Parts: sequence; C-alpha cells; structure tokens
Amino acid sequence: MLRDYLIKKLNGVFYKRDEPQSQSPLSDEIKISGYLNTNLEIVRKITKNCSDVIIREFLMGNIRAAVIYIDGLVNTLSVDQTVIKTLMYGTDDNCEPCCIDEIINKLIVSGEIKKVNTVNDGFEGFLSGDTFLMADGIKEGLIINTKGFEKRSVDDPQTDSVIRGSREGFIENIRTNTALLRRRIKSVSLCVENIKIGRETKTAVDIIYLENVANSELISEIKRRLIKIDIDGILDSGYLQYFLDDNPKSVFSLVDSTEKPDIAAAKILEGRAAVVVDGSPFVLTAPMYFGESFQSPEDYYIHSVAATMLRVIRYLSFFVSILALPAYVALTTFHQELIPTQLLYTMAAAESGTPFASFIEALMMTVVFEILKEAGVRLPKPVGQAVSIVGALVIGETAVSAGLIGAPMVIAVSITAVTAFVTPAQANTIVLLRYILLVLSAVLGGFGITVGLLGILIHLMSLKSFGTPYLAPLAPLRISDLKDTVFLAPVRARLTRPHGLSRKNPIRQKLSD
Amino acid sequence: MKYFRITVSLMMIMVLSGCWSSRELDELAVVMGIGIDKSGDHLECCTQVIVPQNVGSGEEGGAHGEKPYTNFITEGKELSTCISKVSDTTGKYVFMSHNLIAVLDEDAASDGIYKYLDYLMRDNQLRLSVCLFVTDKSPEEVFNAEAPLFEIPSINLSKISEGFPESLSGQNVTVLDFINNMMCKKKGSLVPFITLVDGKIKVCGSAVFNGDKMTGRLDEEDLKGVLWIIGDLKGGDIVLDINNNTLSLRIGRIKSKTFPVLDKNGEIYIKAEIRGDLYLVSDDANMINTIGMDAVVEKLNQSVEKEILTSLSKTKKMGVDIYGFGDMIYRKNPAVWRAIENTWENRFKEIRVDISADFSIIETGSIIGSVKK
Repeated sequence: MLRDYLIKKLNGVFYKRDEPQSQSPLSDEIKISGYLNTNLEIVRKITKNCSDVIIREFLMGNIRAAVIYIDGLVNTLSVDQTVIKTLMYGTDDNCEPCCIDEIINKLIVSGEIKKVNTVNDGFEGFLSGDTFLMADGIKEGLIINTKGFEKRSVDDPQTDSVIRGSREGFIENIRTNTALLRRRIKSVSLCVENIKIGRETKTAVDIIYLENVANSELISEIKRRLIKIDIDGILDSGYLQYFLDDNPKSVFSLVDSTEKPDIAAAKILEGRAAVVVDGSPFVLTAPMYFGESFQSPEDYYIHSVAATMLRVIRYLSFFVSILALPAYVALTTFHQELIPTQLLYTMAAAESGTPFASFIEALMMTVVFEILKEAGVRLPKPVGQAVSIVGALVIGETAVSAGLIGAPMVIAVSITAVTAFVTPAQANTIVLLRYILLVLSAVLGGFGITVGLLGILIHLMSLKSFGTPYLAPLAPLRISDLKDTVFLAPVRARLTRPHGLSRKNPIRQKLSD
Repeated sequence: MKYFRITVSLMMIMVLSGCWSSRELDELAVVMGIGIDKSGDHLECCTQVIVPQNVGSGEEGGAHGEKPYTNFITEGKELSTCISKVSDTTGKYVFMSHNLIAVLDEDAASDGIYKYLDYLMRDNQLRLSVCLFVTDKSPEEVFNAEAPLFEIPSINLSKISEGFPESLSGQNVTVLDFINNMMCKKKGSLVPFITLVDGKIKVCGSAVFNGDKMTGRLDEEDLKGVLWIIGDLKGGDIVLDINNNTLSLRIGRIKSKTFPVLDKNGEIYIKAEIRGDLYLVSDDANMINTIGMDAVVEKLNQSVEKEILTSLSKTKKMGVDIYGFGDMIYRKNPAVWRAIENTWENRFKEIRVDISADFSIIETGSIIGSVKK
C-alpha cells in the first residue's frame, strides 16, 4: 500500500522486475574450444578494458598454453612457481594434447585444482583470484588456486569490546572468518555452505551451522531467503540483514550481528546459524531474541552473579535511555506535582530564564548530540578531539551559562546519550524510540509515554525472527529459558539449549555426579 | 494512499492539538504554604511562593541577600478566591501541589476551620498531607520568620512537624488527620501551636479543637501527658527528678495501648497501658548505682503516670475528648455508645482512666557508673 506506493515513486518506471536490462557479455555459455587462439580471442574481447587481467602465453613442451589471472588478486610467486615454471620445465617435447589429467596428477603442485569446460567458469575462477589455464588442443581448462590478495590481520574488534575474553575479531576475508569459527568448533558437524549472491559482485556468502544441532527448517529457510535475492551486489552483511528480517519494516533488528568469533561460535552452539559475507567483518546470526541485545560475551566468562548484575544494569540503561528525556519533559510540563519539592525549585531555578520550552530544549540537545556523535565517528582521528572539546564545553557548559538550556536538561540528555551505548545492538533503535516517546510526552505527558511504551511492547510481542518469538523466553514465558535472560545461571546450571532452537539435540551439558 | 492519509491525519491530530494543559516550570508560582488570617468577616490570606532564582544552590545561587520566597497578602471572601488572586500580582499560574503547610490564625481557628478544610480537601491540586498549625501571631509574621537552615520558612515548619514523633513536643496533624478526627465520634483534635521567639518559629504546646473550632490550648507540659496516650512516639527525652538529682532518659520504643472497659455493673472506664524501652543518657549523680535500677524504673513509672494524670485532669476540665475515648467505646460496643452519646461531654469529664506505665531501661551508655565519686 503506502510502501508499494513509495517504492513506485522512488524508483520511477523501472521498479518492476521484468524491465529490459543490458545483457552481460557472458550471459551465454561459451564452451572452451580446442584452439587456444579462439579461446584467447574471446577472453581478450571480453576483457579489453580490464588492464589488470594478465594473459601469459608460453610453451608446454611444444604445445602452446596460456594462463589468465588478475594482477593483485593472486600470489604472483605462486603463479610463477607452481603453474608457469612447472609447466614450462616439467614437460618435454612429446607432450600429448590430451594430457590434462597428467598435468593435474603429476605437474601442478596446488591443493585446489578444478577442471572446467566453459569460458564462463574460467572467468568466474580467475575473477575471484584463481589462475585459469588453457592449452592448445585441450577442450578443458584448469582453475588453479593461487589466491593471494592483501587482507587485514585479525585484531581487536572495534565493537563488542571485552575486558575478559578473546580479542580476536572477524576480518573482511570470508575464508579467514570461517577458519576463525572452525578453530573454535572442531567438529565435522560444522557445516559451511556456500552461496554466491550478486549478479556483478558474485559475493561469497557462507551459512555456518552445526548439522546435528540446528533445525533443518531454519537452514532451509535461510537458504530460501538468500537464494531469492536478485541484486547487482552485496557489499556488506548489512545488505543481507534486510533480506533475512521477517519484518523489515520494524525498527528492531531481527537478525543479530557480531564482530567476534567467540560470540558467533556461542550462537552456533546454541543452535543458531551464522551467515558470513565476504568483505564484511560482521557476521549475522539468526534467529535473534530481543534479550540477546543485552548479552555480552563477558557475561559467560565471569561469575554468574556479577554477570546478572551487569545484565540488570544493561536492561536499566535501555529503559533510562529511552525514557529519561521523555520523562523529564513530561514531569516538567505536565506533572510538576510528582517532582519532590526540593528538586522542583532547584529545577525551576535552572529552567527560569531559559527561553525555550522543555520539549524544544530536549529536542535541540538530542539533535546536537546526534550531530556530535556522527561527526565524531566520521571525522579523521586527529580532529576528533576538537569535536569532543566543542561538544563538552561549548554545547554543555556554555549553553547552560548562557542561559539557553537548563542544567538538569543537560544532565538528562547526557544520561540518555551515555546509556544508549550500553546496548550497542539496539543503539540506533533506541534513538528512534526516544524521539517518538519525546514527541508523545510533549503532547500528552505521562499518558503519552504510557501509550508509546504500550505500543512498543505490542509491536515487540508481534515480532518473530525465523518463527521464534522475538521476546522469547519472556513472552511467551518459558521458565526453563529464563536461565539466560536478566538472570544468568551459572554454567553448571545451564544444561539445555534455548527452547525450540534445537529440537534434535536440546541437551548441552550432562550432569556429572 | 489510505494508510498514508491515516498516518498524516494521526500526526496532525497529535501535533496540531498542541500540548493541552501543559505548563512549563517557569510559568508556575509554586506555593509552599498558605496562612489564613481572619479579621472580622474578611479573610486575609498569606501565600508563600518560591522565587526559584534566589534559591541558593552552591556558587551559582541567586543574588545574595534576596529571599528565595515572597509572601503575597490577598483578601477575599473565600480562601480559594484569595489564592487565585495571587496570579493577579505574579502573572503566573498558582501551583498548589507542593503546598506543605496551612497556618491558621487563632481567631480564624476559633471561628471554625471547616470552611478552609473543605477547600483544602476538594481542590485537586492540594494534598491531604498538608500540615496544620495554629499561631497567635499573624500568619504573615510566621511566613517572614527566620529559617536559617531551610531558606524557606514553610519548609522549616513542615520539617518541625515531621520531627514531632522524635521530639515529644507535639503531634503532626495533616488535613487528613484532622478530617479523620472530625469524623470520629465526638473526638477533638490537637493542632500544633506555634509562636515566634526572636523572629524564629517556636512550637509551644497545642491548640485544642472541638470539632472544627479551637476551644483552648495545652501548654507543653500538659501536651506531653497527652502524647503518652495518643502519640506515636519514637524519641524525645524525659527528665526524672529523684531526691533533687536529675537523670535523663531517651525514649527508644514506646507501645501504648488504650482501651475502654465496660464493667458488668455498667461502669465504663478506660485503661491505658504504656510500655517502653528507654536509654539512659545522663546520670551524673549515679542514681542507677546508688538507689538501683529497679527503684529508678519505679520512680520513672510513677512520674510518667503522674504526668499523664495531671494533664488528663486538665483536659477533662476542658471537656474535649482529644484522646478519642468516645470513639473507642463506639468501636467496642456501638449500642453502649448510642446510649451515652448525648451525655458524653459530661461523662468524659468524669471518666475514670487507669494508667499503668511499665518502662524498662535497656541501655545505660558505655560507662558503668559516673566517674565522679
């Protein structure tokens, strides 16, 4: 309805799927012919504008051969040594044209090698960093793994920081990421299923799960949703989040994302599935519970009582973050009788002389804070300090002493801002909810806040992530799953997986005597 | 499109309706106390309003020397009209929710205060926890009293009232308490009586109300005797005089039980049992060791009983049942009460009250005896 209307307006006449589009040069399948020249002609024609495609012709005995690879994506040494050198020196003059199996079996020293018989497959191979070998008189080509491009090293991730716990973080390389997971779960049941998404980007996407734990319906549903995607490119796992969401219109994220392998491994062990996308250090896990936003890997590594305390603080922060400012506005403009007397006249003293209504002040301050936050994230690091000085001094101190804003308002805004960072998974949602509640509180006061909160609650109750209620295990209440909500039971008491996540293997730990 | 329209209309309803009934903090004149002064049939109302700018809070406190409150004197026929006239002067909305006290002039109290109480109860901003006081000065003087520790005299007064259970010098009476007393069977009320000494507020006894009219006063000594029976005591010091030596004791915990006894012969009398734990706080003559703990306790019991009896005889003469004996009888046996209801004033003057005090001294401080030999 409204959504369709907007999509139509925003995308002009081309919004329908079956509009004509320009054909890719490789849309038809081209067989590799026995003549190297013909094959190379095709390749040259297609890659005429690609200066980074290297085509190297050489003699294999007395047969002409060529390797095609992309400069920068391959390990040059490996191409020279394992492919070109062995082929040039390892063959003698009476090499037969049909000896491709001999090349595989006796000559090329590479772990991963694949026979192809279409140029299309060859292209796919060398475009992702492998070397494509063709020879005269052979109707097949070889894809040899020579991948070796630059990548970031595995280091401390920016998000999900912990004091105690692993410091490793995912990087942009999908193979490294899957290896990080495999290193934590050394099980043959750990499945890594690959899908390529993106007409142009051909991005590798891996679905990782424990075959003997995760429900097969979940895996097939994830696959179904991923395969349906017909898009030019996937540049980050964030793209997939929308396709995997049960309810993309909701402001709440129904798929969790993490930058830490230990978190992803824990989720996989619980029976969830992880989706790793090449080029993104953020790994998606599904299905997601709302309560997962309040978990930190550290909870599981420290004493459960301390962890419970931290959880309480996180839940509290969430509510403070969305409610502090609306409550302040509601109290000062509608319910002054609820403010303790002494506080009332302190607040009245601070507010007297400020030219704006509380709501306007609150709105101004939060918007200014969001701007500062955004500037702080985007600015180059050396300039970042300037932003914090401007933020702290100019906006905070000076606005108060200039009589533009009351001091209690600055406190309320600061508390709101700081507490939002306690639950990074919901940080953006919190900001949105806060604005909604702020408007409601300014218009209807405490009644507005109540209505807003009820609305949010009803919405949360209606959400499902891959068929699992978002608010589980609180609504619907499942006592056995309360061991990992606000209250965290000790490891020895966490015997079962969350209900429904693993129907075939619900037991995690067996009680020993 | 339909949803688009609905969304837009909903937002318009929200935004265009504006902030109905919202008021900014700086649009309020926050009333902390009201004083009621009656001269003839004209009502003079003194309203204490906060001036927030002058409320000192650290270095950023307001202009020095300026008082953080102002008092407005308004006249009118009714209390409500007097109070709403405050906004004629201030230009701000008179906000009564934080009103802490109502100070009544002695004359106004003698004429009956139900008129004011009715307003204090009905107004939806005012709370039933407003504390009542009666003064012999004008409320304006009370509101201009020095309140060195509290900045605002009204707050000082309400704190005094809160401190009553621990000071043995009065009883905290809120509008709700007063109304409750009025609804009891022929029960009087005690309202703290304040006066000014050297420009500062001082509590001196209580005003005695019969129904809604003030009929007399109890001085501090008499009030103490009454409080033993009705008070909810949590502290306060008792000075005991034994052979011209004094020792003082602090109240730790008091449990008093008062109940009517309906005799088989038809006689009605009241029994009051007072039990309590006390701490010895000063005994420089070492009475505890010279005459013994039991003797001290015995003397103490007698002295308190005497104190109660003295004030009882005085209050009986006044003829106002401030103890609520009548109500106790009614609760025990409504039929008996109905029979004696009409003659209760006279019966009260003659009623027998058996008092038994039974204290124990549970701590004598961290020294064994006094050092002086």
